[in-house]
Amino acid sequence: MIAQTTTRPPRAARPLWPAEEVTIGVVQSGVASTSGSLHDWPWLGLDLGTAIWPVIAPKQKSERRPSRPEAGHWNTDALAAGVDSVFEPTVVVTEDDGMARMEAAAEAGDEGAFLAAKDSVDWETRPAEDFLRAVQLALSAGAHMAARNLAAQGAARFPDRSRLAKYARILAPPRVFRAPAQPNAGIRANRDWMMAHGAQYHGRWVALREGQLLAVGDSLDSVIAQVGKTSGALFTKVY
Amino acid sequence: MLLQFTGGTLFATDAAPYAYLPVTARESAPRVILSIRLGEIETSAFVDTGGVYLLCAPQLAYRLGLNPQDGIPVPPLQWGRGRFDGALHRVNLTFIAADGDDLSIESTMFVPLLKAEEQWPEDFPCILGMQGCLERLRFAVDPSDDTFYFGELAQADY
Repeated sequence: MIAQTTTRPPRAARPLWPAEEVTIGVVQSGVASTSGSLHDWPWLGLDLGTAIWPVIAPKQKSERRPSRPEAGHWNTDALAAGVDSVFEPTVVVTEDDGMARMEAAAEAGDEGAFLAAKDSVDWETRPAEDFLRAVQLALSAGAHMAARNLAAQGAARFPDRSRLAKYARILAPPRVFRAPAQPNAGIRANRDWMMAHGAQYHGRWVALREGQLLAVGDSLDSVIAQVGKTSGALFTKVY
Repeated sequence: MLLQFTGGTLFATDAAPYAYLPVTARESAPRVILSIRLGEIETSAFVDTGGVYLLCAPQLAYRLGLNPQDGIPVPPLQWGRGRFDGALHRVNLTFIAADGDDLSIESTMFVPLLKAEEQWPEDFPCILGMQGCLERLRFAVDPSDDTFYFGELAQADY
């Protein structure tokens, strides 16, 4: 296992491992003063109005601190000066700490924390399994571009790993190509039908061809069954 | 009638009409709704530039013959009114042109996987997100006649 060693800079009068933080956010007219948006949480179902409510800082869940340092040294100068924070720990951050922090960030859905944790890992030394896991975690954290990049990086490093190749192929940037066809005047007629008659069939599935209603049903399967084939018609739920 | 840069190079080579309507009974804001083709099936999809991937309703994915095991399993993600497990697939999506040629995008598509007791609560067949779907497409809308212009990037733009 590769290990990175960093020394935590001394900070006087700071508890070494402070209690978790709670931020107080003021919410007015549905705009939170914290990061993110209440619209991200429509399930709250609350009348926001004006309220003061405690907001758990995202890092509370996402930053899993390393265990208490096992190594360090006493700052004898500080000790002599009577400063209360005199133990300067040497925090050993291992690659697995990086993975652990990625796991925590993904669990919290905290994209920013995930990206920070991902960047702390030396991917040149990681096995294929870590790339696969990291892609999954990135998707879970909402870090979709990171998922793409990790998949591409992993597939390039391990070209014989079919799962990584599959991940990279599926997540790759889209490829656009021309599909020559006769201009389809029928889609304009279908659009016009939707605008003119949509309200009448709202919420139902329909099949249309060149502005003509072919079938109506409660499911895609039912309208396909009525039309008898899937090509040559527009199958859509009516908005 | 198609769009071009000042130097005469075409920006958009193709165009299609769109419907401008709310997509669910609980929304009043209209969306840009286009006709697309997935596999053999022509259906409708709305543009969501704040979203990711192409989202496909489960019943449509079933009709396309997609096997979840061929995709990337995705942990529960928030889509519309719920969190759903799902899988990501690579599919060809075709924009159907009324003027010009159709244009296909090999894109990343998310298909929700529903548990036995779950129902897909959304009212729309497909959503066109940005990353993994629209991000390499040139497009513009003309609200004066509800036309969606689109075209492929020049090779130098990749």
